[in-house]
Amino acid sequence: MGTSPRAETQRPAEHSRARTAARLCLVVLLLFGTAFASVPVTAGDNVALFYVEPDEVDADPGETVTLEVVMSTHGGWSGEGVGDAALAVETDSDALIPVAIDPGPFLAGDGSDLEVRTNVDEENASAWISQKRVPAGDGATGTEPVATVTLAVAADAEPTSATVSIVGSQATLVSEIRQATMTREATVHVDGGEPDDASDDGSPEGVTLAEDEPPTGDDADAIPGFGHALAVGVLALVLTARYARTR
Amino acid sequence: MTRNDDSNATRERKPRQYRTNRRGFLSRAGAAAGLVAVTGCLAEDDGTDAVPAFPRVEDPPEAVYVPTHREAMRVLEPLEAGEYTLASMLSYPHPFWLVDGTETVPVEPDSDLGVHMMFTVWDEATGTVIPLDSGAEIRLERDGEPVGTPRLPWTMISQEMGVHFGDNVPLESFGTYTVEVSLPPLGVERTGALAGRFTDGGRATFEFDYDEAFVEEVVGGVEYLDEAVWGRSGALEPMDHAGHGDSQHHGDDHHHDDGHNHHGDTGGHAHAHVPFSALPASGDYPGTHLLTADGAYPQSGDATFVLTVLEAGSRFADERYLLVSPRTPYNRVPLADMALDVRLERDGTTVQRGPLEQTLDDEFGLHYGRALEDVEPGDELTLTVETPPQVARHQGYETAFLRMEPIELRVPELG
Repeated sequence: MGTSPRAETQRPAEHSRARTAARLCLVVLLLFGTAFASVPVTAGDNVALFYVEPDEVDADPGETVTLEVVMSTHGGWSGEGVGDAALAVETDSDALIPVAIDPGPFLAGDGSDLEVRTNVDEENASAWISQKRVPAGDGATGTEPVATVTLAVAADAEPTSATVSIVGSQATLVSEIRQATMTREATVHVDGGEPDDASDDGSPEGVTLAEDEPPTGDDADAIPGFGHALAVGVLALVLTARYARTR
Repeated sequence: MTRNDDSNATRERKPRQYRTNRRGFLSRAGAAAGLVAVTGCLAEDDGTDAVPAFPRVEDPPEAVYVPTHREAMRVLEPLEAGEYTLASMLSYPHPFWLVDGTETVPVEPDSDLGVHMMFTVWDEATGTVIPLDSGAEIRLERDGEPVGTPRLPWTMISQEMGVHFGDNVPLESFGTYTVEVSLPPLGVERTGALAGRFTDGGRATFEFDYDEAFVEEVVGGVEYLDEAVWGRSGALEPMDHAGHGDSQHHGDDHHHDDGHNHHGDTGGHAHAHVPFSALPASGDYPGTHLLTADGAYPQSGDATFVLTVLEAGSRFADERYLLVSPRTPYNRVPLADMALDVRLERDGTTVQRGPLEQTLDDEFGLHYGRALEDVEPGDELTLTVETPPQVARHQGYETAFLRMEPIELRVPELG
């Protein structure tokens, strides 16, 4: 267990702008800094899932928390596995500061080495990692940790519940087809903090729910951030296409 | 498990539980749909579990449920094919379910490369969407050379698109493809403005570009819904309804009743009007409606049934006519290719029994009907579903309309 200096406090608006800029940077880094020069096309319902484990954890100020990012994929419809993957994580609270991000076993093995690139941005509470199998071989499938993220809880943190989100992700099959990705986040309860259960009525636009379903208020703690991750994914697709066209 | 390519059918499937211990998630979804998850159902040859190729709801309810995502597609300009009008819609290859009796058979794509090709067929004069039963054929060419073998597409229903027909079509590479679609003469009984029409088939040809921009469009346009609603009883609105804020329940049968019978392109392309196969609202049917004891329209297998007895001398029969209109909840999509049988009993004695005939009418859409020679108030009417709708299903419909209990109703005073 260790600690890390708490990031400099920012006013909310500045904080938000910084985070937004950081997210864009993460996407660009994922796509251009770590795309390993492939020219992928994308798959549709064929999805790779990234999720943070455990999805809830308690921590005290001054502690260090290690979370695993688990990757789960069937591979392509033709059975090919994933040859390279990249992801970026971000926390939504100054109480949590990423201090390290390391590869997990998902892509390793089968006689392949891993090319790994990482970056930790404590100021913007974010980190990214990209990994590529060399040689790619048949690629990887299944469900295993693809990365571990180490977070320091600020020594002076107030009680809060902070979200650890995967704000960018990509998985490319050995056939150079890029899979769609889904993400799930985790919550770190600092010093007994509880999540805000106030929002999300569970009835997205364009969906009709049966009238006898439980009140939507029961869905208060629906997994947040999913839409954001999707938006990032769509942005990533667009950027990928532009990148590919310029090659 | 069925795959289009037998060479890829070597994987044995088995159920697998997957982590879903999201706090609160189970408490939300558990009551509605059991365990809901991004789940695994594949087992690799070495026995290790793998995960599914697409997000789905595990152990969904035997009812219409909200799927995990909303598809995106490119809608091409409608074409004339004989008397038919046909719109082609292209998306990415994805799974669907065939129906064999009361069981479903999943069909998965051969490959990530290719398209899911869909067609909505309608009568331009009346706007009636036509549920083709079988006999359509798709042929592809590229640079004048055949691509693959001719495909016989499936009649399908989806929450977003209603009745259509289609199939996954694998493609080996990007390029411009020519598609010839052959439509058969219409086999179903036609009435009203459709009577005597569609006795000949039709043929249409179009081209499409399968390229990176297309893939970006249809994959980037996929919208994954919040997991909180996955597997809950409900449905995606027809495409054109999403985002318009006009969603509403229709009271008696939970169907939309906003008069919109069309849908739009989610791929960002402007396109011509393509009708959505919504049946009329229950209240728009004439005659004496047969309701349950509590005054509701009967349901079976999560389908809603509008049953009405029309007066003698209607345009359907000289005698009274029983019109049965089974439809999906929420979107009022007609349920085709069913075998229905009706029995009328009076004082414990059967006075009439027999099958209903599937009929396509320009005013009441697809329905099942039969003349009633002898029907009186107080008769006990039993409607038996001998065969549930034998149409393929998109996600969210594959567990509904399969095990359908008989419907028992008492005939009220007849108008």
